[in-house]
Amino acid sequence: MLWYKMWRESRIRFAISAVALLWMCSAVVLLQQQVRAHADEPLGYAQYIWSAIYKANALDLYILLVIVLGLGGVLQERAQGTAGFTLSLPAGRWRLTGARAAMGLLQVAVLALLPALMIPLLSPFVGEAYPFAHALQFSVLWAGCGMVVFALAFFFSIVLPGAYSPAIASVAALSIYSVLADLPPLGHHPALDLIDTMHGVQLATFQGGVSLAALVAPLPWQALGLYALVMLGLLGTAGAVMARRDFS
Amino acid sequence: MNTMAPLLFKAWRESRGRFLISVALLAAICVFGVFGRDSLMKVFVPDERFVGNPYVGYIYRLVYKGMARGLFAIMVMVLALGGLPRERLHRTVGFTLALPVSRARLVLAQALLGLGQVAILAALPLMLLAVCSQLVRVSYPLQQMACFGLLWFGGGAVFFAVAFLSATLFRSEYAALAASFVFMILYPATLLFPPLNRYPLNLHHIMSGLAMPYFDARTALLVGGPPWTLLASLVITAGLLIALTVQITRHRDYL
Repeated sequence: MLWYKMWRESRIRFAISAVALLWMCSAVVLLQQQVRAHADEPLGYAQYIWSAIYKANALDLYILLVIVLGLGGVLQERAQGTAGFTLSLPAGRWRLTGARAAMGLLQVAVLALLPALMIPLLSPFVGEAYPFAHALQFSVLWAGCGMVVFALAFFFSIVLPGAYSPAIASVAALSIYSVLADLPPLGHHPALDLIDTMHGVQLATFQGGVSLAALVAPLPWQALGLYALVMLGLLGTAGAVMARRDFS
Repeated sequence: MNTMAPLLFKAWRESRGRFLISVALLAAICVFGVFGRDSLMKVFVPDERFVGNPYVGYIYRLVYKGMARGLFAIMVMVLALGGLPRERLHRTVGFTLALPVSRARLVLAQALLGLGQVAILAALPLMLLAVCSQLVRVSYPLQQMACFGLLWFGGGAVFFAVAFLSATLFRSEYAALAASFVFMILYPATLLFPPLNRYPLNLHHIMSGLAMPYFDARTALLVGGPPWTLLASLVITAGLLIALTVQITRHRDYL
């Protein structure tokens, strides 16, 4: 029942996000010849896909949409006068928070997977090939780092009043963090740069031919593990705040 | 009796939190950008073609092309959200619609205030960079900042109007926010398809001057006077989108 409630609350946002990402990936693949022809220097197909999707606009879109998926919750319901109904459901506040977080994380993971499905599927139509295993590697990075972004927006949605303040706070926090990550002392630890990890610079060898067997080796598991801990910390803190908050 | 002033005050009360956060963020980027330039100039490096004044290239890369411009576009879209659809969710729309003013005036007051806020945000880098640069004895041409301010206002007005329309079309406030973000990123990709790719319609490029005839990438400076025709087209586009929003609001059932 809680899952269904959380799905109903976020399904329009999720649908818009999924359609937008699919459209973006399709546009990038279909326009490849035209864009590569006008590039300053010769661009291989894999490099083009990386620079147009995994490094640039599609990634920005994904991050913004993940932030939007993290919004909502009981604090926003209080402004709409429906918080009382939600809190009177026969479920604890931790379960409410857990269900919303789990639904959001699932949606973040599904969104991250969409480019991996779309790009290898559409590439043959433009006479190119993109290995599914390679696309899947980037999806793992997007999902792993996207969950931190989601947790950040989720945390702000529980501590900040107002429908849009959590979104602004999340965008601001990510922007500031991305600058700090390039400066000393954080700059000395590339694993701590969330956006660079999402870019997957270390995976972008553009040689193609990455097999599923090789999937595990080059991914920055240490950084992903660290981000998973940060995500759990943010969600745990959000749950603790929610459990003690007075919504009357 | 002039009803516009109380309506503007109502719109201000509804959006002031978002606006003040936006001002604080943009101001922080500009101020820290100038005072922390020794460290940040290593991060915000102009592209290889750049041969001009390093400080001008750095400010362009940080503010007018980079992070500050991206945040500005996001902030103006967030400023446009709310209004009657949000009041419907909060069950206060009945009180607002019972006010002795037409729906058109309600929406126009919100749009007018929002455009004023967009103008202030667009002018903010000019004011802060001029003062802060003086304090640390570096300079960025005032005329350039004024011209970029105009371009930001033109592009920002269109982004604002799109989000304003989106807030009216979607009943869920978060769906409207998602749709606005999607527009901001997907719209430039759409412009790569023929025949749209023949025209300089990319708002991000118009605001930053990138790949535009009125911008020299080698010096990161705008050349010639402001592109008045382009600016007028942007303001007219924003006006048409706001007029469409007014029309939709007039016929919408908010029960």
